[in-house]
Amino acid sequence: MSSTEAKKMVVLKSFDGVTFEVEESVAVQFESIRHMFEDNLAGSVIPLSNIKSEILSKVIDYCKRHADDTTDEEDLKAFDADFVKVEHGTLFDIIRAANYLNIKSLLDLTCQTVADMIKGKTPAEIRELFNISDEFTPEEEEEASIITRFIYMDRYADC
Amino acid sequence: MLYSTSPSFLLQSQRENVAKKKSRNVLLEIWEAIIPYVKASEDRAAATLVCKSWFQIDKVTREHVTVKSAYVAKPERLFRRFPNLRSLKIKGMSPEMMHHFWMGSRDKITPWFTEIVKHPKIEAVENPSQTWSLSTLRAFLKFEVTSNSRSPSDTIILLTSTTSILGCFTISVNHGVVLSLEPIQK
Repeated sequence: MSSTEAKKMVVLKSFDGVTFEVEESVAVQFESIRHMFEDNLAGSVIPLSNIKSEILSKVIDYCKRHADDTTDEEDLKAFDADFVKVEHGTLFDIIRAANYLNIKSLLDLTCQTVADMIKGKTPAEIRELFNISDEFTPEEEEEASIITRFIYMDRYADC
Repeated sequence: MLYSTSPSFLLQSQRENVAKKKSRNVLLEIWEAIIPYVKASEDRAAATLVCKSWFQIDKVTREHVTVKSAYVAKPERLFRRFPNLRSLKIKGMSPEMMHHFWMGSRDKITPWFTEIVKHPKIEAVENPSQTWSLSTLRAFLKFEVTSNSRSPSDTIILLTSTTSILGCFTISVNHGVVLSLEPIQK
């Protein structure tokens, strides 16, 4: 992208009607809506009807930080670590937004954070941690467990 | 007319159901994004057993699987359960089984090859207990692919033993006929 275009602004509107003006260099990280402002629609408001303003502002914050070439690696790591220190609900909302907007690095960061929470836990502990209720009946669980244990096994087991 | 006579509490509960379903779908979407990041075998196994929806998510997002016993698992069921497999490790294909194959009793191995060539997404098949020579594989595939009407384009098969990679091959198939089997230089 040339330097004359760097200052181009894009206006995003959240689900609850709050508008955010961001530089195009930041917004290009939103893969899934990229075509909307690249197709010469600059100046028009892009509605993001399933993202709350609270979450959108976080996502924009993240993308601003990551678009900034002057930030050094250590700072960025610290920022990322801080960024995911939020409640589960907020983290899930960010994942949903990152998934919808297709921001790969943010999706990697947030999903890996949740995947790390699961590490080393039993199914019961995971259920408790995330308050999951859609349980198996004991018979179904037994069957699923047998299939998983005795017939299939993930290949990473041997690595 | 019909609707106006419906009790209002029903409509309310219906509305609640729709809302519930919607939030459930949102959650599913989120977990579908997360679960592929759970990589370690034990963690993935635990995730599979958390609840019904996670079990379902594992099915569609899983790309690698080790089949513990070629005898027990049914290949067509395996591919139905995991439609997006990209690599497969088959254990328990004994030399005895290979012998049976050549002696005409092909019922145990044939389904595996039939299914594998049907799935162009499969990039790697590992069989740790077996060393397959290129000519054996070629013979296998000729037999299997010609008996199969579907035509995956380029399938890459990675042949490994427990200690080393024997080779990586690109197989071009057209209308069920193996056109070429080229070793890929590593």
